[in-house]
Amino acid sequence: MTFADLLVQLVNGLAQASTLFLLASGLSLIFGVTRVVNFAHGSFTMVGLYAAIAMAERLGGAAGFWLALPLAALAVGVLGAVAEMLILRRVYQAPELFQLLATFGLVLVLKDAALWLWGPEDIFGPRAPGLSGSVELAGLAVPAWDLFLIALAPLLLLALEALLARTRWGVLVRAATEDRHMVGALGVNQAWLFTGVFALGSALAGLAGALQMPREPASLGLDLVTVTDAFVVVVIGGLGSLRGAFLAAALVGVVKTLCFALGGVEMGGTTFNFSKLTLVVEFLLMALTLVLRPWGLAGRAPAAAQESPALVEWVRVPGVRFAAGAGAALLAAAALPLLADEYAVVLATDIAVFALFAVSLHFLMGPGGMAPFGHAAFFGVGAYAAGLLAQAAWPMAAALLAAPLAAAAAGLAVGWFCVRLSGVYLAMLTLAFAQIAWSVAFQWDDVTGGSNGLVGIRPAPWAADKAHFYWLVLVFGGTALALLWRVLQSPFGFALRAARDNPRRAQALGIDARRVQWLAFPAAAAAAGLAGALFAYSKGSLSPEAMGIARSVDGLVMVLLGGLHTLAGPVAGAALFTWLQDEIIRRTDYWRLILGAVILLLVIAFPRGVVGGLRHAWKERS
Amino acid sequence: MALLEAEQLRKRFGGVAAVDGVSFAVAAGERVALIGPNGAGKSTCFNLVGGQLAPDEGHVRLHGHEVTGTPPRGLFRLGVGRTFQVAAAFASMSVVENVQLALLSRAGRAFGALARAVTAFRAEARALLLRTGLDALADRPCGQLAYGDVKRLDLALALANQPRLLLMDEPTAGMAPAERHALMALVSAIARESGLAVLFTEHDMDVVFGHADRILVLDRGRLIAAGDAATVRADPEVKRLYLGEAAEGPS
Repeated sequence: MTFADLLVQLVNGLAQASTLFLLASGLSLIFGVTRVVNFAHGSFTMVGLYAAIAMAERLGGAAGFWLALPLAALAVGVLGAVAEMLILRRVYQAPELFQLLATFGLVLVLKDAALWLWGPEDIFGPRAPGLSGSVELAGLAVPAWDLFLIALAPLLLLALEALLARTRWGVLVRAATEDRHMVGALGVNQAWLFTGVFALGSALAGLAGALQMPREPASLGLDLVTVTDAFVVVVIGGLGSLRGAFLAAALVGVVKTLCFALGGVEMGGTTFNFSKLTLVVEFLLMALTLVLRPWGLAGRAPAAAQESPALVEWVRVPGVRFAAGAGAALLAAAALPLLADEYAVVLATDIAVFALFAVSLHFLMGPGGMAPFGHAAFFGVGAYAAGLLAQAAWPMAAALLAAPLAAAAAGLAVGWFCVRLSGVYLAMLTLAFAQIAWSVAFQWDDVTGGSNGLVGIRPAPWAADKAHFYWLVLVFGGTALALLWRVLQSPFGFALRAARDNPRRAQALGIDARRVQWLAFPAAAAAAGLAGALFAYSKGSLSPEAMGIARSVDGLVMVLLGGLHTLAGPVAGAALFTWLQDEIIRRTDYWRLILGAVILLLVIAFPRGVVGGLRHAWKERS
Repeated sequence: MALLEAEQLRKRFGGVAAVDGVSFAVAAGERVALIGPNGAGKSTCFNLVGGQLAPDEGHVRLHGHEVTGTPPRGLFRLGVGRTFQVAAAFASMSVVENVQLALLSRAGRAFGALARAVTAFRAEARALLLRTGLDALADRPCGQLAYGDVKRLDLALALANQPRLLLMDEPTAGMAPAERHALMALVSAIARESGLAVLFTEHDMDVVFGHADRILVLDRGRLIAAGDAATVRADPEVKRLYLGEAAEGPS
């Protein structure tokens, strides 16, 4: 690698950083004022890129290209304002997890809207008129568009800072970022302030998308890739800080390209390939930041304790009747292969696997009172552990016992970091760990098979029959479920709820609240890992998607469908979700739209979950 | 030997000396009230003794052993019980389950993951509830209790480790006047029976003069008077502090 190569990569990295800053500044502004971490931010970028290409083509010529940039940003700003008024306004008072979920519902809806409008194929945009060539720089050819982007970021930072410092609106935005209750108490119309900030943030995201026209094609996968990058930058820089976002964007952009530029490096006799780290490195930076400086490089600890209203309800300890009911349900489930066809048995296997996954997530969310947004990591670790052991010719039974142990070890490590944070910061850190796990699976080709994944994970001959495997899942999953429920009724389960209900009281009673929450992680992770291992054997193959963001979100939807305050809720939620998804996917290409709408409905209309909500309504009536 | 000794405690917040060289002692069986106007340093002083804050200087000793800066959960193991100004127990549990968890923690069994919690220490928990007048409410969800009963439950939890020192921060705040004296009479009876030392802060002077053996008066971080009710009432400094303020109207 020559110095010249490095310089070219550096320009590329800074151009990326510029885009990252545009993304992150909008996300950060929105978070600062509304305290909502907007998952749909990347979707606005995606829509911005599609819209800009469509407009540039419709308008035509050089003027069309340059006009399309602000027009696309404006259109996305309006879209953001509408989304804020229809959806986000209703979840400002909800716990962080509900807010994240609501904005994820928006992600799904926007993705299918883009699919309907622009189709599944990637669309290439026009090159920038006048800036399509390259510029000679120290004897090197550097793309002119990249230099344009690099110049844009600092100008935008100055413009935004001027907006916030010089205008009355900007002063209100800064005041709301400091203390939004005070701003409300002073008689400022908060609703319009929030809508305005959301529109501006969305417009910035749209502009970031539009500016990608000459660099990359518009594609439907852009939303999640973009938003996770933006999360990383905002968290490293400090939620709510523009300068922090600027610094962090430069840091992430440069470090990523450096990894790519370094390539294979000889170290102690073996070649270490740094280019395989491009995905994982940004999440490592984010995790490191959250651990060392939880409020980011330039962020500050929130002024007032931002505790969301605790979702604490009385929980009756289940007795003999609950155990008898659960046993009867298990027996009924076991009779299924005698009555139904193979399709139903395979679906029921999926339901049983995801029920275990949902119950393990509920363990942390409900009794644990935490907001994990990356539970798929443990599912994935269990699945990959089983897959790798199967390839190493371990017997299935041994692999099914070892996989939960591997996941528990991951839970112990991840949990140690996570319990030091709370609320949205904990959610972000779990997300970072899940993305690290996903990146490792995606980029470590030699071991995990990369994006192709692992194949040939066959169950033992005695369990190869679909019905036999289903019974095996019921036995393993039922045992794990019973154990988790048992733990909830144990002193440890009580201590876990105590740490959630009133941590100060728990400390004064000699209970180490943080330690209790920490140890809840390996327990939940082991169960999720077992679900992952059973999943791997039931499908016969694995891909990194097994631990993607979508899987974590599926789990959250299942738990919220069932409700946080019922033990059986997550099982019902998993059954309903898995069955519905199967039905919908068979009937339409737009299943995401329906899932997204269901999520939005759930979060806005049924914050207690469907089962919990119906039960509550029943109690209110009687 | 005194059960609790505080020696030359100092704590500053920025430029303000919240507690500025306070020393006192509490003997077994003694009920000591810590009073003073708002901002006198009562809460800070109380939190230094209770382990919520660590002092900049000075010592806290329990039975002659240094416990300065020991966190609340360590003090629990050393026989210190604590109630809170805004009492709140564990809302997702019933009244008796709250006490059972406290008893499990005392026994070092709060991390047991397979035993059933609802059957553990049930009799002992019921006995504590009987003692604190909550027996009839044992199976109520704790979120449904009247505030006075939450205060009693807070006391029951604080007594679960059979403490030798009970720290009560504003024990009667938010309670009806009749309930206040009933609660403090109960505390006094328990202190008499078991030789329990009680240190409490309180705003209600009727409660203070009626239930404290000794009163410590703080003003601007310093101890300005100490003694029994009669001594403190007669103290000119205290008179100036309280009557002077009263003459200017309630603050």
